[in-house]
Amino acid sequence: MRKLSPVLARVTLVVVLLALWEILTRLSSVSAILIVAPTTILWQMVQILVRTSNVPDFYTNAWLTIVEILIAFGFAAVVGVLTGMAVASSKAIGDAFEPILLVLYAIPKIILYPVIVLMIGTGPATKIVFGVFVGIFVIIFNTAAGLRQVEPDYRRLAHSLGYRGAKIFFKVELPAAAQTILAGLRLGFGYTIIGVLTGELLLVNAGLGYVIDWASVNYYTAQLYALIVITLAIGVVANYVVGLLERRWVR
Amino acid sequence: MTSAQARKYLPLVIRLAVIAIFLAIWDLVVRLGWIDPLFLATPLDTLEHLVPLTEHAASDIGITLTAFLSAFLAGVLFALAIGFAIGLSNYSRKMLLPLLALGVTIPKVTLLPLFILWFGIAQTPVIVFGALSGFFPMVINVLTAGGEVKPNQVLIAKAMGFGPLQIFRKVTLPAMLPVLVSGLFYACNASMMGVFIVELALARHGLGAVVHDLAVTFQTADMYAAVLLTASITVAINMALWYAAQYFGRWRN
Amino acid sequence: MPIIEVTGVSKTYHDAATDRVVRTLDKISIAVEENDFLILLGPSGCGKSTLLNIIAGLVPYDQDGGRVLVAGKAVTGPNPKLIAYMFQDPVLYPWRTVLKNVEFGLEAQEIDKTQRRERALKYLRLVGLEEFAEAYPRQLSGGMAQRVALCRALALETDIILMDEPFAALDEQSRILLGDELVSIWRRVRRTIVFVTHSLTEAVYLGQHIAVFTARPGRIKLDIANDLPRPRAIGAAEFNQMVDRVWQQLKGESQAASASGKKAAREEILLPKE
Repeated sequence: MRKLSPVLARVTLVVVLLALWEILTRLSSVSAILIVAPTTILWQMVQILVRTSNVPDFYTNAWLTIVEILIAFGFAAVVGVLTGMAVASSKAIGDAFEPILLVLYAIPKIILYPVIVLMIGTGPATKIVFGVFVGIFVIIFNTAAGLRQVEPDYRRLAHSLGYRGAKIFFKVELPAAAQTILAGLRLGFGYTIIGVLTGELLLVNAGLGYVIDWASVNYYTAQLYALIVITLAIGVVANYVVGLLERRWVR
Repeated sequence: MTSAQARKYLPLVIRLAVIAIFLAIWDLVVRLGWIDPLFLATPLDTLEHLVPLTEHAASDIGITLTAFLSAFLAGVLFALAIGFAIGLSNYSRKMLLPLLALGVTIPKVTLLPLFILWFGIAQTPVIVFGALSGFFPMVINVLTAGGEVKPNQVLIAKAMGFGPLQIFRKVTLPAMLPVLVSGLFYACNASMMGVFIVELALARHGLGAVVHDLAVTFQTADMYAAVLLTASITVAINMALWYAAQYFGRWRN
Repeated sequence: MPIIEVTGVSKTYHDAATDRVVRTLDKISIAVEENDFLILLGPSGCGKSTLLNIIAGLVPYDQDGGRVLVAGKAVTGPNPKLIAYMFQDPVLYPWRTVLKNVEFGLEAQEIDKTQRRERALKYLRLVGLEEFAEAYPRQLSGGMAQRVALCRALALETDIILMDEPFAALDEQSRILLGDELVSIWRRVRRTIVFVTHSLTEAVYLGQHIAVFTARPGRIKLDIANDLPRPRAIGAAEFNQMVDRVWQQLKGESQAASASGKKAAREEILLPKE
């Protein structure tokens, strides 16, 4: 028997699992409050997207979350890359800050979430700040590592050709480190999304977190599943798009 | 002191200076009232409250640690079992690896309301979510660890007459160990985060609940002390794991 | 009776990537006498490593009448009691000490712990690495690592040792020194050695017999007996004469191999330096 290509096999597996889920749900007597069939979820998703569902202000809330994510990532990317460059620029600074950064990285950042809430309040800013906080470290590390790993021969060559300072940086070091930096940005984006969504789900007062909580407390389980799937889909698609961009930019 | 010696200590000095400046700014910001003391406690206040808080929250610390250990163990054991099972066949590994990698990158926190719906609000969702958080990074590492084994290493063992089980024990497993250990670190931190997130959300038991309650009642100094306590416990667990890894990875130094 | 007898053995395999049938060995025959030091020499791709793998029982050969006998018995799989194998890459296990690496092969046989340790130490002493017994492979240089691999092979105390370009990754001095050590060990412990190499110098310096391969598909073109007295002097007149003789046989094959467009990679025949 000729084996399916892995991609096809994956799709088949997912389809089979969904079918099983559907059948088991329809046949079993488990309450509709706990488990909902995939087709029902799909139907709910369609209703939510065409605004015929009872989910309050879905697009407003979804858009809020997306904006939070974009702002958080923008900030994390800029500050992260600049910090990474600073860390890589001087050995003394790098050696000094690296242990501090490592310790900060090791602490589960969720611990500091209540602190952020306490200081900034419960608005979108908190979620943005938390998103930045979660995503920025991997960007800093990757930028610093990428720049540090540039072959010294490249720099020597540039020097011998008469380039100095900033020119070397932009023409030689940055392109050489680009792959690692872009990988860091991709990972950072994923983490920022996780950060923002975590913030929203804990402080369920606005955005996707709000509508998900609304569905949860009112036991609108079908809507809950649908909203969760939509949110996860946004996350997956966003990560995928960023991955594609990364691959295109790596010459 | 020669200039070379001075350079050696420069990073340490910068580090201490940065920490000192950070603490000073933190302190000043509260004392000068730039941030309302209701939202931020001074470093000294935080430290003063640390010990009494630890005593007070002792049972919650126990609850969180128990939940963390259960979640961590469950996640890692499942990851090892499923990872090795999948890894036996190249085909299944190629097919399932991207799906499992997806499990790492998606914001699992989105599933939290569902978990609470299914498992209630006792310790179960805490442990299940923590285990799930640790499972995915660990299973990825188990699957990629297989690539650490070089074909020649297995070939030599075959030429020496070792059977497949012996080769697994003597060659495959030791070769995979470094990647498995780094997976343990990921799983450890991911589980810790998972446990804390659910505790924070449910606000019933454990350190997450303690922090939550102190925050909403604006017992600011206590809350910061609790955060410091949790951070310290996390760092301690990481260090313990690091020492264990160093011990087992002696040959790499 | 020769200790290794290869008669009319072929090896064909199907290259999945190019969907071509490749014949690496074509009814090749060779007999190796006990305690001989045989060199397998040939252009890249001629199948000398394949032949070695077949003798070692690591690779099957075509079932079309060909036959491989080791000590009179047909080869069906690895035979660690009779054959030890060495690669170009020492392949030491980084998680084991040098001593434990040398002991490794012995763990598959019924030898108890103390005996294993004694044997391993004995051979480490032989190559002068006894003080590194508790070191880890990471701490060794390329030459030292290969010597440990040699110990591992010797410790099996097999009659035959097969070596696939074991010194190819080392610098020239290490190659000569290790070659000397190998020859001196060979004369002391009386084993049969089959040694694959690209290097003409190495072949003439080390070998008692030199089997020259044709280009792919491989056959033995000629088996040259090398009676130069030991210790051999690289650069001496008789040495160069022998090298010339071998090169004459080899030249046509090397040219044929590169002319047929096969990737010679970095595996060209190394001519002796003047």
